[in-house]
Amino acid sequence: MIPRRVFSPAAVGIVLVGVGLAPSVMSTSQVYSGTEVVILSLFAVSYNLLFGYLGLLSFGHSAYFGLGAYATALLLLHAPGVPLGPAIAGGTLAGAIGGVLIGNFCVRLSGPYFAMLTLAFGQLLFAVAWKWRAVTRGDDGFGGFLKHASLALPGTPESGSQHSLYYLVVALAVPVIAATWALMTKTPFGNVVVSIRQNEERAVFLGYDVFATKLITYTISAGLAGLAGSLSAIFHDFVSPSVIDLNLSTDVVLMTFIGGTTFFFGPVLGAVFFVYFGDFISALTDRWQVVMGLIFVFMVLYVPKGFIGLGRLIPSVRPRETRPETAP
Amino acid sequence: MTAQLRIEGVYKDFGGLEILMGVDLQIEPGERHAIIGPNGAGKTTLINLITGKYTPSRGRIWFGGMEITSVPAHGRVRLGIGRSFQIINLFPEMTVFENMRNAILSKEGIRLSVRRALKGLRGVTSETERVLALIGLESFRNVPAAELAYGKQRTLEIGLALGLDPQLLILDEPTAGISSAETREIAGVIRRVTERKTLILIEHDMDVVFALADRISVLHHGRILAQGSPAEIRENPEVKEAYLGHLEAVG
Amino acid sequence: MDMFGVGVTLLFGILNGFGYAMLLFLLSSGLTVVFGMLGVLNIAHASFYMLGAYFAYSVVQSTGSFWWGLLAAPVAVGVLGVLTERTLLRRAHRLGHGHELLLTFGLAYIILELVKWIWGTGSHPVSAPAVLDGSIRLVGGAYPAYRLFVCVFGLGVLVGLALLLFKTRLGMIVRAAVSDIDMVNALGFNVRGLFVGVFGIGAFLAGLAGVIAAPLLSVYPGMGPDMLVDTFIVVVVGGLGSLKGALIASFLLGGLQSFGVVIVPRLAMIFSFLLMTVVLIWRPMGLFGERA
Ligand SMILES: Nc1ncnc2c1ncn2[C@@H]1O[C@H](COP(=O)(O)OP(=O)(O)OP(=O)(O)O)[C@@H](O)[C@H]1O
Ligand SMILES: [Mg+2]
Repeated sequence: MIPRRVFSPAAVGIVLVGVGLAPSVMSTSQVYSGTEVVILSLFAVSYNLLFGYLGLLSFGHSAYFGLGAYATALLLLHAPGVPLGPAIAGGTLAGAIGGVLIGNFCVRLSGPYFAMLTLAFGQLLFAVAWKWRAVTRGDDGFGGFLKHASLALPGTPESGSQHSLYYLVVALAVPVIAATWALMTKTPFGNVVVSIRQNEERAVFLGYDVFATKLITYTISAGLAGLAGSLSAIFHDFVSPSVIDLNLSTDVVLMTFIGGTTFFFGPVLGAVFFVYFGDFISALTDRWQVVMGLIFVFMVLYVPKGFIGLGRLIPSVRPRETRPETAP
Repeated sequence: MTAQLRIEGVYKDFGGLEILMGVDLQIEPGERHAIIGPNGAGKTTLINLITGKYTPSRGRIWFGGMEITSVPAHGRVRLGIGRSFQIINLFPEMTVFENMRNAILSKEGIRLSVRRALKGLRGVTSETERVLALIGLESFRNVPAAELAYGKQRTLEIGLALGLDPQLLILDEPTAGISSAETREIAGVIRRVTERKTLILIEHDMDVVFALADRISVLHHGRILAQGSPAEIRENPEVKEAYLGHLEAVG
Repeated sequence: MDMFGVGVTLLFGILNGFGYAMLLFLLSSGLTVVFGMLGVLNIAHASFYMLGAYFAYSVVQSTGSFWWGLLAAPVAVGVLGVLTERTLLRRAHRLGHGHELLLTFGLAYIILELVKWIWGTGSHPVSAPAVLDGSIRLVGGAYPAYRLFVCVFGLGVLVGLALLLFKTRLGMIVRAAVSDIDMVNALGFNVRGLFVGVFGIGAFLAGLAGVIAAPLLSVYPGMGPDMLVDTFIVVVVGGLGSLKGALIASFLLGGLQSFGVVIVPRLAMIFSFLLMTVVLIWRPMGLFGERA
């Protein structure tokens, strides 16, 4: 349950009107990349629960994105007629279950150990997706599982269009991001997470269960990543190992860090930058990732708080930080 | 009456180096017990075993009749053991208020709750303010802990343990590194707030020890060398030799 | 299969495992020593391995000789390692371990993308030198000569490394620095200078591993990430900062991989993960690690 009076009505109004009307002034391809941005924003927000909030650097977060994507795709494929709602819930749940099981090992560790273990588990799940051809069709992937599903939300244009996909994604992702924001910044739970990040030992000796808190956070993070993956599967009507590969895991590190980890919405900024700036430079050079990597390294060295951190230079828009430093 | 805390035959070694070698200790409810001993005697290590930061290599620990030897640290806090640290250990970027609120939230059992916004928890806010007033930090309410003067950080360090309102309060060198005026002030706060509570106090300042404690244990080379009332300890020749003599040699 | 056939298969399995263990040790030794000295987990370490392989590929392409590749590529990678340390890592060091980790991660990302840019995303075969191209009759079976070379060569490097570490003064200082860098610093040694050297040698060894792996595994952009995971498993299992642990874990993993392929051909890596998971639950600091 979202606490009362946590959203400024004006801000909520602007966001809702903005994302609601955006498609009417955008071309189809703009709607397409807009949808992608929303999905990646959700993914990056989920990632930042680990990176920014717990101070844990994971190199295997695409595992949960992929679990969500494959679960939803397989549900829709093998149970034709299953409504989208349960299919998406199934994807989210798959991510969360994966998160509980894997997180149970990972959150006991920190620093480089955590990084290595998440990488290893991520690669393990990738190998399963790649090699278990009977179920996943391996490298080829599979699609066309939306044939039987109805996409239209009440009050949106015809089913199956780029627009209705956009509205579907927005209708799920935006409230979920908002609820996560409230959870992390307004509730006692979020306060414990931030406290652990600042001083784990003291949190323990005030009676907080650090392991449980980390595991719950990890699970929520994995569930949100699963939702993002699920939406991505529906959006593309296709899944392949690229939803669970190392590229996706590293991309989310980059966009989250570039956007800024010390502020809840930093990763959203990072996702926006990643997609639009990525589009921009990929028009100039086909190796746009090199540029992205250079930007990342530059920022690690000179702008360690990300774009959001730059906001601190302008006092009037200085974001209220919830944590001290960035990286683990 | 069951003892508040009972320690039986506790050993601790770090990588083969024995730090504690068979410590027995019993502390009654309401007792104010000081543990003294030279640097490196193992005092902090003993506290770390009682509070669950480490588990003993051998031996058992009971709290109020319940064995807690393998209870995790946060569980022992919930059972009623609160501690402060010898080295300041706060939430550095959080304000004094937010630091204390973390203690109060835990005391009230509001830990992983998501049902109410933090700001809406009026009872927690007022209780936090009450304890801050008690320890004299109300005027620093909105200062980040890292920006406090050292003496005030000390007060907050102790205050967080007090905020838990534990049955057994353990203070590890509460006056370490502060001026003698501040020491008197902090000793006053401790005396005021710990009335009728069970207290374990580790302290090098003998004035503070003799003012606050009604029993003293002397820890030396990982063993309890002597135990008794302040007067007895003062007169004990072994203690003079091992500990007070040592202090003179240093000072 | 008769008893003799089983024996030959077993022997070849052991040799395969041994060869892979040598590769793993060349990589993990540098990684674990660098971590032991400065607490930096170098994500780009496997990128050095990959660069070694690609450099060797290009050298072999232009000179036609594998031996030139074996000579030049590791040196080039070592120099690159030194430059990386002197310019980027040194700067990140001041920002803390978290940033060092992120920096090496960013480097790995850039190197991977550059490799794809320069050499394309496909895989390139590198042929073994002519003398080692055939097979050798070994107790009645035919074993690829190049694989045998990898075993022998790896063993040679291992012995050389052991001599360097245990018989020279420099080696003694490095070992001391791994266990307590502050002490070595306090004794007046130039720790930063030492570190550049170790980092460079680590990169050199990784590059060397890349070159000798190239004819076995071919050269492709995924080879870095693939090897990264196995190297990580080795250092985690062995204990970060422990050379002995890295050596033993290399053999464990080499053996598991080699025989895992026989038992479940497509998911041999599962054995490595099981090994790592079991070790981490049982001893979070690894077999010979001192800190978790
Ligand atoms: N985690 C640890 N690992 C290894 N050695 C430790 C550890 N904790 C304490 N020690 C060692 O145990 C010994 C006793 O330390 P302890 O902190 O208990 O002493 P103390 O009596 O509190 O001293 P002081 O008056 O200086 O605070 C010291 O030699 C210390 O180095
Ligand atoms: Mg102490």
